Amino acid sequence: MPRSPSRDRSDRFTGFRGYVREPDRYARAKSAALLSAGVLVGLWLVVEAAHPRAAAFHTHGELANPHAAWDQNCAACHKQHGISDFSLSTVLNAQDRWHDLTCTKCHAGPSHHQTMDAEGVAFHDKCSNCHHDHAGRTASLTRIADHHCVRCHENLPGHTSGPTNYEKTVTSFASAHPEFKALRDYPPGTNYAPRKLKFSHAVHMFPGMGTGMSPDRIRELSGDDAARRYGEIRSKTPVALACASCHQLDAQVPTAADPPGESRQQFDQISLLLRGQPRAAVQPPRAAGAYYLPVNYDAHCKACHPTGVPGGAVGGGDNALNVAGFLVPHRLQMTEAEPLVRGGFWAQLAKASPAVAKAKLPGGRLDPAPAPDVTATFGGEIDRLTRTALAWMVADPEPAKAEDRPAAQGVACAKCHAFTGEGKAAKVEALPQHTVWFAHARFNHVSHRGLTCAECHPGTGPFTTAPPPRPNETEPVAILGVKSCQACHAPAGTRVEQADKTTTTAAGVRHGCTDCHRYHNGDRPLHGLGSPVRDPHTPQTLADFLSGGKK
Amino acid sequence: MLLSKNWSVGRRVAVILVVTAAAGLIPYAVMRATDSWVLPSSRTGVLLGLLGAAIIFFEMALYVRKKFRRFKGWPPLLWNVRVWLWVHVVLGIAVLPVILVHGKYGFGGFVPALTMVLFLATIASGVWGLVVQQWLPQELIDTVPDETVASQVNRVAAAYVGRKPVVWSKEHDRDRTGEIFRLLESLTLEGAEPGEVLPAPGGGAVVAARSEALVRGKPAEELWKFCEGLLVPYLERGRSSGSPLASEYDARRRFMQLRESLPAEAWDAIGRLEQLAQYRREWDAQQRVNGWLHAWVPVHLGLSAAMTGVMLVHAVRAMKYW
Repeated sequence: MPRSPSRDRSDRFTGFRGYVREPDRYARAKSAALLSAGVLVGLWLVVEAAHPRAAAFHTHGELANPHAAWDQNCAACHKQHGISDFSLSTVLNAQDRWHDLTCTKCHAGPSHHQTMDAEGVAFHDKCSNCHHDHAGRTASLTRIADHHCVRCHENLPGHTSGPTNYEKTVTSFASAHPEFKALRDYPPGTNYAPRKLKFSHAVHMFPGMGTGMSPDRIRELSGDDAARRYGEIRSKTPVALACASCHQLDAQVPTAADPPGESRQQFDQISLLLRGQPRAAVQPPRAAGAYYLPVNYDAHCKACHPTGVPGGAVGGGDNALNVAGFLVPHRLQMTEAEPLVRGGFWAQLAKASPAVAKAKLPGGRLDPAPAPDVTATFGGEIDRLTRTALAWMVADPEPAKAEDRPAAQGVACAKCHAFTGEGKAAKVEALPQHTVWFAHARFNHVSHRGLTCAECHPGTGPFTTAPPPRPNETEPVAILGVKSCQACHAPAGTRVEQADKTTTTAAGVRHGCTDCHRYHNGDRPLHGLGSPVRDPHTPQTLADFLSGGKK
Repeated sequence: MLLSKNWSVGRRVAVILVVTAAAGLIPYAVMRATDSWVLPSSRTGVLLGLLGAAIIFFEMALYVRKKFRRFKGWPPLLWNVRVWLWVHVVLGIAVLPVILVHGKYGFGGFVPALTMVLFLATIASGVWGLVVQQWLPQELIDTVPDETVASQVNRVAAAYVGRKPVVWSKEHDRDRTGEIFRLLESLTLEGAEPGEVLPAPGGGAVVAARSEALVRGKPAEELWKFCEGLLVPYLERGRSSGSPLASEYDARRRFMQLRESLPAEAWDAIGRLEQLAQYRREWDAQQRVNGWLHAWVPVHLGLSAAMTGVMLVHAVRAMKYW
């Protein structure tokens, strides 16, 4: 009788039917895998507990360079939360716990604008809402994505607690950015105060400045040092100014180690002109070169335009005396200049008439003596000359040809300055502080030094045609509009129509809000990083600092 | 049921892959299109993280449930292992988008990244397991009609050679009393009384079956040599023995040569020997298929356990600072 296949199969296991109680290799492998996983996780826990850099395993990215010291120390910036901090209502608020930072241990971040509404204040109280770290060593903590700014600036009135003077809707630099404030409402209107200083680039950037100004004439006006600064090989060659003759970057003061060159030479020449004055006032020792220093009268104007008063005639007939004009110091109001002018005329009159200097003065009560004739009217003449000179300084009755003006006379204040009031009460109008024109934005001239100045500052020369007889001495704001920036700073390929109707194609240079603007300290935008309002409340020791600061 | 057994293998595999891919990619496509990403630390992100962790713990519980397979709880459906396995598969795919969205489709720092990599590897191994479970069992039925218990293949095959004298003897230390040697003895031994124990030419001993051998002389030696040199090692160690019988073509050729040298009366016995070699070939194939069918489980389990451990470290550390 043939065996059935089932029986055959069954018989194969005769003698070892208990095999089912023995783990096969897959069962053993499962146990081994579980055991291995458990051992590995256990080892990891040991590493977590013992490794000094264990915290670095958990971050989602390296900290930026300024914070690199705390890559392994989460508690340096993050407040730790224990079991007691959790409740049913807060357990999901991980982001709030994550944003519970201690930035102000080291950073004081002044508020943006006081007019921000309560929601905005609450949002901006958490630094990490905008400043995102853990994005790698080289990531910028201050280059903030546009949407952080647009959050409010796309509808600014909706995010302020009161009226605002700023543009109501700004969404991007490339496509929805207002014109520069200085150019809006120009000519003079709401946002623009006319310049208080008379100056014409058309005159000054033309060789000889329309008056045949030469080094010889400068020597006559202000001496050899001034003539050397502007001198050419041939001293009768008309002086041709360049932008850098007056506009200097806030760059480093050259030292003896610096190679001789144009900048070194220029600095040395300016130093000569400023002899006796603190040089650091106009040349800070180490600066970034972002801005141009203010034009300084003593360094840049005085050589051609020394301030002074004209002389005059005293007396009449055969006894008439000609009193010469003389120079007076700069930076004086009329009330301050008046005694100097009066004293100057005393000296000039005495020089013109030695008899006056030698005249006997009245003797006194016990020795009365008659006053000489010439002294009888001396005081009155001095008063008259002083009054005339002060009126001249305020009115600037310029002679027909500037080159005919006596060197000793100098120029009147009113040649450049505007006045309020009259006579002795006249006051030079204060000049607005325009070292930084973009008060709410940053600009770095050094970064743009590849361009000529006139590319962005139209109407500043150099000029090859003679200036008109009556040049515009208050000039428009000499800067192109925001579209000239967008020629480079816009997404690559963006076509921008410029003011001159030409069309440029943007190069894709960065164009984020924070490339020009800074958020903090919005009400005091000229307070830089060095401002005391940014100082931490409690400076720390190095040991405290490196360990994450005082808790 | 998610997958019908009436579907073709290709259709079932396609459904698994499409559903898994959709689960992983659709949330990404939606969030990318709407640019509304869920931050891991947001309320939604944390909620998803907690939900994912809960699912993962349930998935891990399947191992425990299988360990205590005989446990009967109430209601029975809740404790049914097959139902657990089905829910395990469904939630295993469902947890993929949950964790990916929680992680913002990124990796984060080292530990979160390690957790995510282990998680993805676990899901991948699980999906792989699901796919092979659709395909290989049928393959096994088709290619191994005479299958046996895969883990016992070596033992079953070696049993045709003989028995181990003691339990701790090595597999190749068998006593040569198995079916092969009984057949050889029946064909080749002579000059002995039936039932007499005689030394076998290839070593060992056999019990004589008849007094006159069916196969004698050189053919008998060749037959013994064939069995001792090729068949027995192949049955004991399978492919690793290096026997040409591992090849069906070679085996057929060699058994054909063997038949030509033997009288026709011996062919039945030779046929049985060929069948034993065929068994071993099928069982080798069965072991290979079985390996593909089950080897992923330890990998899946190990990855799951490691991922769960690292996930706990990640969660505790994150909660401490979040």
